[in-house]
Amino acid sequence: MSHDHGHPHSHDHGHTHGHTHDAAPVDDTTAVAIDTTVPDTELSPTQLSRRNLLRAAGVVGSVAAVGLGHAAPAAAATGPTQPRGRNVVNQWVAGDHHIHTQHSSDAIYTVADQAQYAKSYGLDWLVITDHGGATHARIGVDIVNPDIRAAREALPGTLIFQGLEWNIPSAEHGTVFVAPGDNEVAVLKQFEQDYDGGVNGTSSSSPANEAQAVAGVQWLGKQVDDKRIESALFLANHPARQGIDSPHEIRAWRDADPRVAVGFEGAPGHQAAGLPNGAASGRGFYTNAGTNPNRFTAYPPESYRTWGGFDWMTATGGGLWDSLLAEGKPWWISANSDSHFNYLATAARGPGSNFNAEGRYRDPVYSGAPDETAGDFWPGQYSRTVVGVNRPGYLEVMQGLRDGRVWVDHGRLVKGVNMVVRRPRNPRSDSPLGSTVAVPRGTALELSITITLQDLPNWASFLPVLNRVDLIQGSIDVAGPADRDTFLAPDTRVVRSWDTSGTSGTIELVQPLGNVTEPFYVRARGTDGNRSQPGYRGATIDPEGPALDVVGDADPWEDLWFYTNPIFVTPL
Amino acid sequence: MIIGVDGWSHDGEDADHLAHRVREGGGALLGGDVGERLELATHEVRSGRAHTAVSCCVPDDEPDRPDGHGWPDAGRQGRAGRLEGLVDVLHDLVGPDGAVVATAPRLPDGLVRGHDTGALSGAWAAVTAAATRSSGRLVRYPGVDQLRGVLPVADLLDRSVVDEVVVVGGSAHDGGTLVDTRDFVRPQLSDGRVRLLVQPAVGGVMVPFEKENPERCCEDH
Repeated sequence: MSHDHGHPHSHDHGHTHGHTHDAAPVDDTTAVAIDTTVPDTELSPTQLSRRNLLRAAGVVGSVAAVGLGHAAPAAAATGPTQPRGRNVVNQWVAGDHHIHTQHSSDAIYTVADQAQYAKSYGLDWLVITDHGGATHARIGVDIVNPDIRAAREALPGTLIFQGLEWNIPSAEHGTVFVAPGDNEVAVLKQFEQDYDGGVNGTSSSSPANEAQAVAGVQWLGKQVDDKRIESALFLANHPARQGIDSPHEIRAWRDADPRVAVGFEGAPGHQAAGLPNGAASGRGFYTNAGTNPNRFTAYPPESYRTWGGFDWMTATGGGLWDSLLAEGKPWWISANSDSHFNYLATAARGPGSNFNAEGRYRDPVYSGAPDETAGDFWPGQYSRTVVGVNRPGYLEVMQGLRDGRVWVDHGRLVKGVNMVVRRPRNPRSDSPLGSTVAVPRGTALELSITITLQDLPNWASFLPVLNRVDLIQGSIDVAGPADRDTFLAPDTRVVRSWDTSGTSGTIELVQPLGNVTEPFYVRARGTDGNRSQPGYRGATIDPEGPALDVVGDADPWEDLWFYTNPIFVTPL
Repeated sequence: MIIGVDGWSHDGEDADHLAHRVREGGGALLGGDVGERLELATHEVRSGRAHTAVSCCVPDDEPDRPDGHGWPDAGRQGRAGRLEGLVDVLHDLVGPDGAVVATAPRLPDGLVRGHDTGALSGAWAAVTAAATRSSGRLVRYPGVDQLRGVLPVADLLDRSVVDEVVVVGGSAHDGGTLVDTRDFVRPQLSDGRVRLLVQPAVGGVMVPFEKENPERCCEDH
């Protein structure tokens, strides 16, 4: 296989990317059909037919038609803050969508505590996700809201969403959150009461419970349609931990409402849990042996462990995540803290607490000693989900997550990643993470990954070093797999690796993508290079993938990775 | 003879507790050293509400028994009566929602206790899986008491019914590779074979893939 170690081109990279698209040889029907600012109802039958073809071809969500600007005059008149300009990335905002507070029966901290740590550790946005359940549905979902509103006031500039951690019927947990608004509590509460697996006793695997999960996703979409809330998102959490999120369930959530169900945790939280002198458990608390009878039996034992801190579904080159991307449909990854009890924190549960009666534990008190066996980090201390927005804002972050303009890292391995697909040497045609590049068949394209290397120490007080970047590519078959339970991508593999050791400042890695004749996708990941092994699917597919994390001996600071979400390319 | 016991245990760990109680009950009733020689396993039941059942294989190696089914104080009536007694004891153990089935060559229809169809199908599934060693995980089995402390793979295979050791994640190993059993070894049944999954651990040794008392953090909300 091709596995050359190219040399990156270092240069200063101070400019912002322009986004005025060039004129291009695309017919007018296609140009209008692909312009997502024009609603279906305003298209002619021919145009609508073309758009439906493009949809069927996997041209999804944030279509970036490289070189269509001239043929789409509506776009030319709109500024970067207009919908047509939503692909314009002016800023990357880091966040965490999986954080517990004293309103979870197995957690401790106040909202203010989590929020100010998140801000201190460099996060711009966070989602409070206390566990769904009878007590939370009855009390917690209400009483957490004033705390969240107060934290918004106290920390202007930090976006604090209210959400909850959904017990997905028939499956694992997931983050559900909504845009702030008058109905944020009402919608979350009704959702929890009607669709939470714990509240309704629908957690065990069955077709009926699987249908409940799909109905829950669709119900959230309907709240947006009915204008009760402006936006709602669902991302599955720690998907491989118990082996109970089967591939067909994940596909069903995704297809239930792609505006709402947008991805899963590429890396789970609890990243301190494998510290040999700490909790000495499995990284991510991934220690199961597949004895849950609700499990998907085809998942191998390897799926129950993290690999380089990432969930097996994402860490496996050519694995489950790639099998989803190979359908040409959006499904994005994130990385979060899942903070419950944090490593070396000095808090003890508030005395006199009665969680079931009061809906939360009382505010924590000083414990007098650091908690050396806790398995979690504070939000932003280790994991972050970085979202490209044209300006910071609640809806903008949610749209960025929905569009997949997202990369993630551990231990602040890199300072910035900007991966784009463009016409060769034409930065004005940049198409960002998560986008679909729709170009006339035969158009030459290239991939550019601009990486700003870290120049500040991380929260373990050392300067992380990026030593290798891998590019992963796979073809797209929009027909999808015959078997909805497949977790293997047919031909995805690592197509190139760059040795980035010894670099500093900003580097640009460029990969020619040839003349586009068939649809495909590309994604990237990078590492400090400390731990690697051939991936689960073998060395021909992923020769230096993340290594299986050793239970009881996984120091997360010595094994750092970043992952980007993909860019899709499709010929018209 | 194989007995299937379904007490609606959730997962393997829960079913371990039931397996130990089955062993205590069976051993006390059967007398002699039979309790020590019972083979117990847990089996996933995936029809209906997923849960885990237990199988109990009673050794068939009593040389002085014409029927060869290992029942002390033989005489057909005595054996059958004792078997009925055991099945009743186990049914008391799992309660009215549970089920117990026992099969033996001379009991073509088996002995059946219980009414819940889910538990009955679970008990039958456990018997079938144990008989064919097609699926499940062994809790008590020949050699288990010899699997203590740190052992080379070769010794582990010599001392027990384990047919092979498989390293999760694919690291190389050989007969000299050390396994720290942590005194908790739950081999898996599949395709008629007994496999022990192990994983790398601190200090360059392997440990069983399944640990005793796994974290249940946030799994049961």
